[in-house]
Amino acid sequence: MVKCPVKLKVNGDEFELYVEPQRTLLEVLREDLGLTGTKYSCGAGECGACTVLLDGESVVSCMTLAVEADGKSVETIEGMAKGGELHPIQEAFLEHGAIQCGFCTPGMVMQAKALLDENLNPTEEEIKQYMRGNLCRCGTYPRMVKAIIAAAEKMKKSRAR
Amino acid sequence: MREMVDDKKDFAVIGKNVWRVDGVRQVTGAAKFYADLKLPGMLYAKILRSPHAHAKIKSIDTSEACKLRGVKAVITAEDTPKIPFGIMSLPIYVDKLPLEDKKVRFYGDEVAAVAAVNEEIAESALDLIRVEYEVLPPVLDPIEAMKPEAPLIHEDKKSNILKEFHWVLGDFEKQKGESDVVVEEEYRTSQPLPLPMETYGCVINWETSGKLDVWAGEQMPFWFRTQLAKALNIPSSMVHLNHIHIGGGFGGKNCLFPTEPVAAILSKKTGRPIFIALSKEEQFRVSRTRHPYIIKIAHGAKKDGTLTFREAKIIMDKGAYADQGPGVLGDSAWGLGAVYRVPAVKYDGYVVYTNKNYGGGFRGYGLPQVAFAIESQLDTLAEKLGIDPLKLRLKNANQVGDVTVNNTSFASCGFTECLHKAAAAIGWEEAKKKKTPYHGVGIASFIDYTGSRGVFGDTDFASAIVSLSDDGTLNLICVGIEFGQGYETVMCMIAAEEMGVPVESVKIHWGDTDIAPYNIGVTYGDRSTFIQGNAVRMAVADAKKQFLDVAKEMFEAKAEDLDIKDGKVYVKSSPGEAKTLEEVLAWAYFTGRKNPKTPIIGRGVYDPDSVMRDHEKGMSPKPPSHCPTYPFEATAVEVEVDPETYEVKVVNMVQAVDCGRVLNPPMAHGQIDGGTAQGLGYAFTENLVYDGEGKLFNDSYANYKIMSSADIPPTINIFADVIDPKGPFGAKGLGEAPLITPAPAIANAVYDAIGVRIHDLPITPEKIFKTLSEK
Repeated sequence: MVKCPVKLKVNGDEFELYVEPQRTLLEVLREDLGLTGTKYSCGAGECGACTVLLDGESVVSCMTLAVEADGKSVETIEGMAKGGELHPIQEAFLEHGAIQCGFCTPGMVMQAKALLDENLNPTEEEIKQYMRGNLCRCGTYPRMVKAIIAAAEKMKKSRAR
Repeated sequence: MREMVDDKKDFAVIGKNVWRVDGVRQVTGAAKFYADLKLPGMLYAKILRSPHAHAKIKSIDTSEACKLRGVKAVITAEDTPKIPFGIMSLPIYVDKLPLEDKKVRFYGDEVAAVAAVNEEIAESALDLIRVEYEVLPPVLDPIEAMKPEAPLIHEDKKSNILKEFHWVLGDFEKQKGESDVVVEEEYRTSQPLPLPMETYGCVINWETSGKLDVWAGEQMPFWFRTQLAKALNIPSSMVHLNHIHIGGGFGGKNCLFPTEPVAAILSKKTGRPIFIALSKEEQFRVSRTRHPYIIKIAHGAKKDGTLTFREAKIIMDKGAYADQGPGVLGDSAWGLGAVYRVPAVKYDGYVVYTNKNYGGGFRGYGLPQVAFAIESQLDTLAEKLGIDPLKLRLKNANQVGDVTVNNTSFASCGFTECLHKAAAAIGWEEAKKKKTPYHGVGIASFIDYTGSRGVFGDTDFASAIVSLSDDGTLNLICVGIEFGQGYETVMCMIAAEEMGVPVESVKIHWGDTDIAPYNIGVTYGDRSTFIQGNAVRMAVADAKKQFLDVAKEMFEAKAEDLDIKDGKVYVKSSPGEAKTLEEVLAWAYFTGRKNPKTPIIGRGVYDPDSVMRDHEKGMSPKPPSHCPTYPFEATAVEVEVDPETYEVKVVNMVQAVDCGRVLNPPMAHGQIDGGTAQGLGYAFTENLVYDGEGKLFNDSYANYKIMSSADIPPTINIFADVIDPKGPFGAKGLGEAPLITPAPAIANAVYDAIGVRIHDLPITPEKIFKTLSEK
C-alpha cells in the first residue's frame, strides 16, 4: 500500500515517518514510536483512554489518522514529567489517590492538561463535564475531580512564582 | 465492639495516606500492560466467532484462509486436545472448549483462529474461513428453557437445567404459620458485565523447549496455571504466568479465557509468540457477565417487625456454559441464610442454560441479585407492617454473638453502625417527616464476605515469603494480583508496619507463578487484604523475630528488649543508640558468617478458621461458615423523579461500609467510589440486550452506558470504624460490598417518591411509566 510522509513532533522530538493512510495516530505512537503509555481500549472514540494533545487540543488518537497530524505537535503521557519531575497534574493524581488500575490514567491526565491549559479556575461541574468522555471503570471520578482542583492550585502557584 | 491489642498501638504506616506503590508508573505511562509487549517475531491472532446463538457446526473449510499471504496458521477444534475447561471442579460443570467442535451455543462462541503477521491480515483471513452451520432455534428465556420440550443446549445433558438446589433451614412451617404478615413478590435482575477498560487478551510464547510463558490479565495466577495446563494436556510446571500490570478486572478475569489455550496452540504451531487482544465489541460479545436472576421471594414477620421466615425460588439464567454458575448461585443462597436474623429459610435454586453470554464472576458474586430482591421486599414488608424501613432493618440486623440459621457467625459486625450512619448522613428522619413531592429517600443494607473456603477444596490459605537484603530491604514475594484495588500498596504497608520500617523499604513481587510460593486463588471474594495480608504479616513477623535474634548479639541485649521503628533497631531503654537495619545486616551477613541464622528469610502461611459449606444442605456444619469474617454495607439515597419524563435523578447518596480498620484511606474511598459507579450502572443502565435470534444488540460504550464523571451524584463515603479481631491490623475486605446496595436503595427511594415499585433491573423511565399507567 502507498505510504504517506508524515512529520510529527512528539513530546519535543521530531520524527519523519512513512505511514499507510488508514493508520491512526494511536497506532503510530504505540507501534512505530514505542510510546505505549497511550492506551487502546474501544477504538471508537467512546472512552478517552487514547487521549493525546494535538497542537494543544485534546483528541482521541484512535479516531485521528496519523496523516491528519502531519506537521503538528503531539503531547503524550510520556512527555508530562520533565527531567524526572512529575507534572503538577500527575502529582495531584497521586496525592489524591485518583488512580486505581491505571489503564485510563494516561488519557485522563492528558484531558486534564487540556482543561487546565485552557482554564485554571474550573468549577467542579466544569471538570465533571470536561472529563465525561474519559471513562474509568474503577470509578475514580470523585477523586479525579479533587485531584484536578488541586492540580489547578499547584499550577497557579508555580505560575505566580 | 471487641478491642484488640493493635487497637492501642500508634501506627506508623497503617491508616496513612500512602501513595500507591505503582502510582508513579501509572501516571507517567510507564506501567506495562499485556498489550504493550512486543516480542521478537510476534504474530497476531484473531478468533472466528459464531454468528448464531445456537447452531450445529456441519463443516469448516480453512483452505482459502491458509492461502492468504501473511497468514501463518489457522486452527479449529481439530488442532486442539478438545479438553473442556471450567472453573468449578466437578466434571458436569466443565463444558467449554477453547474452540467448539460440534455446536455453537451463543453469539460469539469460538469456532476457529488465525495467526498472521498483523491484525489486519488475521481479520481478512477470518472472512475466508467457510463454516457450514445448521441453525437451531435459540433458547433465550430460562423459563422456556426449563420446559421438557425445549431444545437441548448441551446434548450430553438430559435437560437445560444444569443443577438444582433444594433445602429448608429452621422450623419453616412453624415460623411461617406464626407470621402476622407475609409478603410475596417476584423480582428480576439484569445482565451487566464487568467491562474493564483493558480488553481481554494475552501474549503467549510457547518455546520449543516446552516452556510456556504467558502475560495476561488473570486474577488467580496458580489456578490459571492449572486450568491452562489442563486445557492443553501438559503439566502445570510448564506454564509460567508472568507479572504484568492489569487494567481492571472486577471478577471478569478470574477464570481461563478461550483466547489463552488458543494463543498457546497457535504459538506451538508457528514457533512464534502470539499476541491476541479482543476488540471492545468482542469483549461485549463474549464477556462473562453477572447472571440475570428470576427471584420469587417471600418474607414473614411478627407485628413488631421480627422476621419469621424467608422463602426464595431462584432461576439463574446461566447462559451458554456452566462456568461459575453453581458457585455464584451458592453464594446467593448463602446470603439468603445469612443476612438479618431470620429463624427459617426455604430455598429452591435452578441453574438453567440459555443461548446467551454465560455468567461468571462480577463484583458481588451472586449477592447484588438477592440483595435487590430482599432489600426491595423489606420495604414492602415495612409498609405492610406500618414500620419505618430503617427501623425494620435495625430490628433484624445481625450482631456479634449471633449464629444464623446457616451457621454464619461474626468476628466483627458493623451492620447497625452502617445503617445508623447512612441514615443520619442522608437526613432520614427529616425526610420522612417532611415529604417533598417527587422526592424520596431509600435505604438498603446487606452482608458481604471475606475469603471463601471451598472454592479449591477444604482450604482458603495464602502464603508469603520475605527475605532481608543486605541494605535492609524487605523482598516480599506473594503471588496475588494488583489490578487497581491496591493489593501491592496494602501488602507493602502491612509488611512495613509489622517490621517497623518505611513503606519504601519493602519491595513486592507479585503475579509470577515461577517465583512465588504456592498459593491458591488469591484475588476474589474480597480476600486479599484479609487472607493474603495475614500471611504477609506472619512472614514479616517471622523475619523480624529472626532479625532480632541476630541483632541481640550485636546489641548484647535480650531480643525481647529490642524494637524496630522507622527502620532503626534499638534497645527499648536507650532509643538514642539506634542502628539501621543495614548496619545490623552488614554485621550479620558479612563478618565471617559466624551466624548460621542468616540470611534472614521469613515464611507466612495463613489459613483462616472458616468451615466449608454443604451446598446441598445450604449451610456449614458449624460457624463461622465459609469465611473468617464478613463486611457489611448500607446505601442511603435521596432521589428526585421528573413528573413528566420519569427520569430518576439521584440528588444525594451515602455509602457506609464496615470493612474493619481502614488501612489506606484514599484507596478505601476509591473502592467505594468504584462500587458507587458500578452500582449506579446496575440500577439505571447496564444490561445486555439480545434480539429474537439471540444476537447481542449493545456491544459498545455508545449503547451500553457505564457511568461517567458527569453521572456521579454528590456522595458521602462513611466507614463504620469497627475493628475486626482477626484481620491484619483489624481490616477486612472492601471491594465488593459497595456495589451490592445502591440498586435496591434507589428502587426504595423511587417508591418513596412516587409509589412505584420497580421489580426488575435496570430502573428506567419506561418501566416507571408503564407501572404508573397500569395502576
